[in-house]
Amino acid sequence: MADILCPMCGKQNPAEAETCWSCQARLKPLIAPQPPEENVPDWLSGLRGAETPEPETPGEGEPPADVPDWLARIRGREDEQAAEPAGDDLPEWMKDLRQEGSEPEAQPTSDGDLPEWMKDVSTTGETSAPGAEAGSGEDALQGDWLNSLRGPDAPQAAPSSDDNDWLENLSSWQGAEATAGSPEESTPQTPAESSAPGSESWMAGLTDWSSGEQTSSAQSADEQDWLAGFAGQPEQPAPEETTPAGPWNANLTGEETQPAEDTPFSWETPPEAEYHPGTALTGQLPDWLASEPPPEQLPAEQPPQGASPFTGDGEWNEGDEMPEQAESGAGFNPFTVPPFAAETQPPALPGDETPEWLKNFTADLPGAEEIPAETGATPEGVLPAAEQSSPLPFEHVDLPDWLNQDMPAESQPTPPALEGVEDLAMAQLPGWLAAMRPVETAVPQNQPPAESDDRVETSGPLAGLVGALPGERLVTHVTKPAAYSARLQVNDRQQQQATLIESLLGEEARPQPARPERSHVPERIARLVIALVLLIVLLLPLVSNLRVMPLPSLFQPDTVAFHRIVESLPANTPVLVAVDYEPGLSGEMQLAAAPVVNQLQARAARLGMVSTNPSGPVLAENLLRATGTNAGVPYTNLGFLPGGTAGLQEFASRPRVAMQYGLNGATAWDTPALAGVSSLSNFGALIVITENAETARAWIEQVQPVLGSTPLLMVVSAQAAPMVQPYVDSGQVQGMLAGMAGGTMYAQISGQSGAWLNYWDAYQFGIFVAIGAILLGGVVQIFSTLLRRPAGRKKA
Amino acid sequence: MAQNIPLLVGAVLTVLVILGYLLGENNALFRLATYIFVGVAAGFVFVMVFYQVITPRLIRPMLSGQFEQMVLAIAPLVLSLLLVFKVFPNLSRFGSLPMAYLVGAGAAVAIGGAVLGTLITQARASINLFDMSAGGGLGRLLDGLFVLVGTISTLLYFSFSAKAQRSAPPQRPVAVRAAAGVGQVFIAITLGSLFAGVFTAALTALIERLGFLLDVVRTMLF
Repeated sequence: MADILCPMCGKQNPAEAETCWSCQARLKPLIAPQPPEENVPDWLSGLRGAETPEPETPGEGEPPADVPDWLARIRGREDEQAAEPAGDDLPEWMKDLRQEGSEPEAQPTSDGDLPEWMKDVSTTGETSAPGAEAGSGEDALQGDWLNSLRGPDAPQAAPSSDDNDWLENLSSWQGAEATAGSPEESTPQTPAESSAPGSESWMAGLTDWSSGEQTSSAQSADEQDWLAGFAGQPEQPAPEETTPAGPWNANLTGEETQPAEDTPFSWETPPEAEYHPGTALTGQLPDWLASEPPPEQLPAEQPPQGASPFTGDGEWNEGDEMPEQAESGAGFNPFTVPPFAAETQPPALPGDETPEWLKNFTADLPGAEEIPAETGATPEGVLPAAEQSSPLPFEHVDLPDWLNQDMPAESQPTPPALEGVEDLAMAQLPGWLAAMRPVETAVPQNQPPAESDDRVETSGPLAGLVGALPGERLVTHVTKPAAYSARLQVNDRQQQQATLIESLLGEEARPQPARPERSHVPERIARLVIALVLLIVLLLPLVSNLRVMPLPSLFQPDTVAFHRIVESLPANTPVLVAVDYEPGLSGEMQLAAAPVVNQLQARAARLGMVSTNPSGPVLAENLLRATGTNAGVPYTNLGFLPGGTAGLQEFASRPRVAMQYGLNGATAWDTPALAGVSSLSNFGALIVITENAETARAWIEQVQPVLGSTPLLMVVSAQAAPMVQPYVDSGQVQGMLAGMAGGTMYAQISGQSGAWLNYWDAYQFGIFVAIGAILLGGVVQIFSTLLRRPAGRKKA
Repeated sequence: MAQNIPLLVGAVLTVLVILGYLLGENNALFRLATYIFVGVAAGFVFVMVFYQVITPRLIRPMLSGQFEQMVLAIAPLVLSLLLVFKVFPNLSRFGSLPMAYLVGAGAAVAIGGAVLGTLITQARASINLFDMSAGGGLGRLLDGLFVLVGTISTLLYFSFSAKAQRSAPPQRPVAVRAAAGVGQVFIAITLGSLFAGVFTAALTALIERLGFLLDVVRTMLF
């Protein structure tokens, strides 16, 4: 499939393309569909000569069956014109052609089987180039294809031992053509051709015209020389800008040396038995000619687009009669402007540059005024019906309005085209393509109306073209911006899900009703009542000095053991007392430890006071002062032992290093209370006074293993007693006093009296109040629970 | 009179604390007494630490002139200075060394004491209850059984492993549940004794404070 060169930009395009892919220029002109038979212009009808009787073909009694009638009539008419003198209405150049064409009939030639047009060509060549006997040996092969074209009798008729005869004929014929046509329309001549010493004046003029461009042409004055150079010097081709290597002129120049079988053209000579002048090449008629007969007589196979005008029939001269058609019939017409013509010739001829002969020709042709100049003056109906049909495959499908609006004007199916394809089945839009149709909501409905693309450029390089780029309209055209629908396209299910999510989010965002704050008034009242009752109960024995509650007479074994150990201490024995309780529980701890301290004072023990609590040294001083032993008992307050368990570990291993100085800053171990003590085992007893079970456990774990035989005694708070009790049971702690009760027991055992005895009644009353409050609370809770259940059952 | 001022201040603060707490935790008087106590305690601790720790353990060795004591004092000094870097985030890594030393030494001492002083000793004591040769007779044996049952049942109470069942929620075996119930009784008794000890300690402190107030009043009035 031959490509089409864009006449505007020169880019190659597929043969089926309508517009250039590069510059979007229209490759296929807007040609009216094939008109019916009655629309044939008058000049063409006259050529056909429906009522003209068919002249007998010379050499044949009956025309071949495969030659259409119209062609036979045309050829017959030409024969008649060749026989008869030129009419008065014909132009001069036509008259010349007829005169030249009539000469062969006057002279008997041997190629009587050739068609008339070929006879004209050969005869003209012979007359114009009689001395064309010169030729190289290679030229002998060049004339074979032409001899075969002439027919079986041609070799005998034309003695053409000189192989350059056909070239001479061809050059003469081209010279005649150049005379008839304008220089722009004529094929650029090669230097050899232009330098041919034609005997006629027009050839001389042509030589002069071409000599300005071809420098080598002036050197050849001899006819044989230029022919020889024409045939055998392909190395001296014409400039490319003037003679591009087209398929047809290539054979005229260098490619003539190729064998006939290598020629790209189908010059096959039919067998002699089947050869008929004017009919042998019928099957290879050009398209424009083949499109003339009615549709029912169209050949089955259409020649490819852009086929060479020399495709077989040799009737290339017919194209000369319609130069405008050759210019505008690109793509569909076999006389499509070849690439070289597209480059060398303008697409349209200005009116002032139209050659005189063409003006006369068009003026003389009947119905010439009916040919529109914009369409390249192509006669209607020259295109096959199949090619005139709309290129849209779905032209009968109900396309949406937007698509119809956007469709260019030239692509709209025209009524004649519909008539030609009315037998075609309606195209069905594929499902996938139908699914790709945009929804109407996504397409703005206010599209501007489609502008007809029939505007003709009147100026500039695009003058005469239809459907050029409408840049001016696009720039000046102001349209309202498309309004797109903001509504979301959702289905029912999606709508339900969105509603569900919305409801869920709404519940989350909905403020929860605040729970009514529970009133604390009853609790505060109950607390105040209990506090008042407890205060009254506690203050009453303290103020009245009542001794209602009896003192304990049963003692715990731990207390008894504690007392026994203290009682067993020898006199003047150093005793280490660890005061490790917090100030908050100093009242309890003093009440518990006071009987012990008094007992130690009675035993003339030397006291060493130490504490792992920063406030311990002060509390130790307070304890001794409260008991009244600070005056008569030697003691040394070692002060604060830092480091927690690690400090205890160090103190247990090296007491002198861990606690070098006492609370007063003096060396502790040189005091009378600690004289002779180098280790903890030198103490007679270690008494730990603490309200914290962890502190008691630290002393037990870190110090007790190094005490050896020194007993470890504990005075603990009532809250720490349950935690220390296992160590007492295990034997790690030899004695323990637990809280005020333990102190009271110890005092009771040791026979001491003191202020702590006054607190015993208050202590016992407080215990009873607590027991009563706990029982009362339990009863209230039980009744409240019983009262709530019926209410809950009723609600249920 | 001047010697009674501390008693008077102490009495006022005691009343404010007691009465203020009865009126509510957010009572201004209660909060005032709390702030005073915290401030006095912090100041007292600083003074005590300075005079009982820094002076005798750092300043005195450095000023003693004895090389051995000075060298020994450098180590705690350097570690203490490095510990100060913990205040600054960018330099806190320098304080990790003394912190590591403190934590490591403290953990080692605590664990060693716990194992040797509590775990092994307590286990041996529980076992010795069944030593019939130690005397005590049946009562000692019952005491040992009581401790054993109480210990085992209490441990089983904190055993929450159970088998999954198809149609019922997972439950522990019946024996474990029965033992756990017994352990729950022991735990309740233990917590009750602790609560009683706490209440008793608080009650004793209250009685002591009330006696103090009465003494102040008596001192002021009489």
